[in-house]
Amino acid sequence: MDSPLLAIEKLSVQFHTEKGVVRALDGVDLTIGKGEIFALLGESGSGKSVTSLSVMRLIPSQLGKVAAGRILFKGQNLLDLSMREMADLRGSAISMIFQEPISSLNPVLRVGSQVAEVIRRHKGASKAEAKAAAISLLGEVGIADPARRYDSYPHELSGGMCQRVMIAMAISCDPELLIADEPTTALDATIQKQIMDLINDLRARRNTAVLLVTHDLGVVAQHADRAAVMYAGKIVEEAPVDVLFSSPAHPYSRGLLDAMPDPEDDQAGFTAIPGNVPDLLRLPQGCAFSPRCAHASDVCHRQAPERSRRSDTHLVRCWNPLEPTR
Amino acid sequence: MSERPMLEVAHLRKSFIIRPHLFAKQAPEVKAVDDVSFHVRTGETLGLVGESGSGKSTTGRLILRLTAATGGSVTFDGVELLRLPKEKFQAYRKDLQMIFQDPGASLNPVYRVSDTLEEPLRVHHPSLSKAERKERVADLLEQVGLDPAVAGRFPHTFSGGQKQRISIARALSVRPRFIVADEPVSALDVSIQSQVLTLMEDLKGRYGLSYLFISHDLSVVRHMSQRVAIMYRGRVVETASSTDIYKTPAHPYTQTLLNAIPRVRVNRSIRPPQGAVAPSAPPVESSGRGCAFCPRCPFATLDCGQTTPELREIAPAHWAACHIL
Repeated sequence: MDSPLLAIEKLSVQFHTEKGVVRALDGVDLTIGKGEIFALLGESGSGKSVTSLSVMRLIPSQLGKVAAGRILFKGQNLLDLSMREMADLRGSAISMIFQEPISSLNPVLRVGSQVAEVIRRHKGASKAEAKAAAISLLGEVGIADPARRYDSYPHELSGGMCQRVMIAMAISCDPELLIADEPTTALDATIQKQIMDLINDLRARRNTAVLLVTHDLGVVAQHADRAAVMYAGKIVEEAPVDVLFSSPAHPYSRGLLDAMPDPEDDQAGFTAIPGNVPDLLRLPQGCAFSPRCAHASDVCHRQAPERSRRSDTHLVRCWNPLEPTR
Repeated sequence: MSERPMLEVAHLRKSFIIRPHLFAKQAPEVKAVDDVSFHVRTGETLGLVGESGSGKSTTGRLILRLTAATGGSVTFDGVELLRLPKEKFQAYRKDLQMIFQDPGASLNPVYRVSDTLEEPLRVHHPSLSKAERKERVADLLEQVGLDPAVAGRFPHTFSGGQKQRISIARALSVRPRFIVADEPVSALDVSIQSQVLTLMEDLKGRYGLSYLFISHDLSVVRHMSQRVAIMYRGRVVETASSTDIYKTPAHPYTQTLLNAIPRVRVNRSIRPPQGAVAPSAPPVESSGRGCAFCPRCPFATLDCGQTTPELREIAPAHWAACHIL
C-alpha cells in the first residue's frame, strides 16, 4: 500500500474556556487514501468538525490549541507550516465546503467573481482567464446557463445552487483533498441527493479524496468508502462502510443504526439510546459511552479502552465489542 | 368509523404579497398554501411532508391561527375555528397546541422551566391555586422524563433534547387533544431524536392525543403516522395510509422524494436508480398555470403545463393529484 494522502496521528485539540479545559479531540488517528471518500460520523460535540477544521488549521488560536499529534498531508506535517504556507495550500491542494452555503459566500460579491478570485489567487491567472475558467466550472457543477449565473448574487440563488457554487470554488484549483463539513445538512432531500451525486462524480472524474463530515448515516451508507464513528472526541470505531453497517462492533455504532428509522420497513421500530451526549467538561471516568451503554461492565467505568483490531481494516475502541454478525 | 373526524381542514389558502420595493405598482402574490384539504381523526397521527417552501409549516400555523388564513375553513369538533371571534377562539386554544422545531428559540430564555409550564395554566385554568400549579408542573416534568427538581432552572442549562421535552411538557400542560408538531426532532441529534419520538408515541397513547406531524423526513414520518399527506408548492399532491405511500407511491414527486432518502441498510451494488429530476427548480412565482411539479417531472405531458390537477381517489383511501395517473 502506498503512503496515504492524509494521515492524522494522535491528534489532541484542547479548548481553554472559563469553565475549564475542553478536550475536543483526544488522540485521533485516521488516514485517507487518494480518491477515497472517508466519512467522519458523529453527533454534536463529538469532535468531527474540530477534526476537519484542524486539518485546515482554522481553529482560532486564541481559543483552541493542538496539544499533541501530527497532521501529515503527503508526508508534510501541516502543523509545521507557517500561516503563509498554509494559506497557499488552502483552496488549492486542500479545499473545504461548509454546511451553510449561503452564509459561506460573500453576500455583496457576484458568485462568479468569488470563484474567479480563487483561481487568480492560486494560479495567477489574468482576469479574463479566471472568468472563463470560473464559467466553465459553474457549468461543470451543474449550474444551468453559467455565463448568466456568473453575475448573480448569492441571495438570488437557492441553497442547492449556492452549494454548487461553493463546490465550483472548492475544486477550481484541482484539490487533492476536499473537506466537506455537513455539505447537505441545510438542503432538502432531493437537492441533497443531487449534491452528493455531484461530489461522487467529481471524485470519479478527478480522483479527489473527500473527508466527509456528517451526522447522517444514510449519506455515509450511500456515498462513503470507509467511515469512522466519533464519540466525545475519540474515534470509537473505524471500518469500511459495508462492514460498519452490517456488523458494527461498538455498541454506540449499533445504537446509532438502531436509532434511525428504516424507510423500507414499517414493522421494525427504532430504539433510542438512553441518556445524553456527555458534557466535554465533565466526561465520565473510563469509556465516555459507558453510562449510556447496555454492555458496560466494571472495567468500562474505570478505564478507557484502547484501540483494538478486529481485522486489517476494522478498528474498535471497546472493552466488550459486539460479536460479528453473519 | 362513521363518526366525523376531529379536525377537518377544507380549501385552506394563504397568499403572501411580495412587494419588490416600496413603490412597486405590481406586487406578485405567492400562494404559500393553495386549496389544502385533509382531516385528522381522534387518536390518529397525520404526517405532513414536504420540502422547504412547500407550505407545510404555514399550514400548521394557519390551523392554530398563528398566521391568518386567506380563505378556507378549519373545523374542530364541528366548530369552525377560523371565523370565531378572538375571545371565543381562546377557549379552543387549550385543545390545540403546538410544538416547534427549535426548542432553543421557542422557550423564553429568561423564564425558569416552572414559569414556562405555569403560564398556560394561569391563562387557561385560572382557578388553580399556586400549590396545585406547582403539583401539575412536577407531574408534567415527570411525564416527559425529566426530574421535577429542574423546575427552577433556565432553558440554557439544558441540552437540545431536554429543551424539546420541556416544550412538549408546555404543550401538554393544558391537556390538549390535538397537537401540531412542526419538525419536532429536526434540530436534534440522531440518538436524541429517537428518544423524543418514543416519548411522543407514549404520550399519544397515555392521553389519547392526535398529531399533525410536520416533517421533511419521510423515514421519521413513516414511523409516527397512520396516514401521510405530501405537499409540493402549497398543494397536497398525494395522501394515503403511510403503508401505501411507501409501498405504492403514485405521484411522481412522492416517488422522487422516496428515491432521495439515503438507505442505511442497502447493498451498495444495487443502488436505487438515479432520480430523473431537473437540476434546479424554478422559483415559486413562475408557475402560474398547470401542475407545479411539471418542470421537474419526468412524465410531464402538454396537459400538465396547462391545467392544475385535482386530487382524485386512485385507489381506496389513496388520493393523488396528477394528470398521468
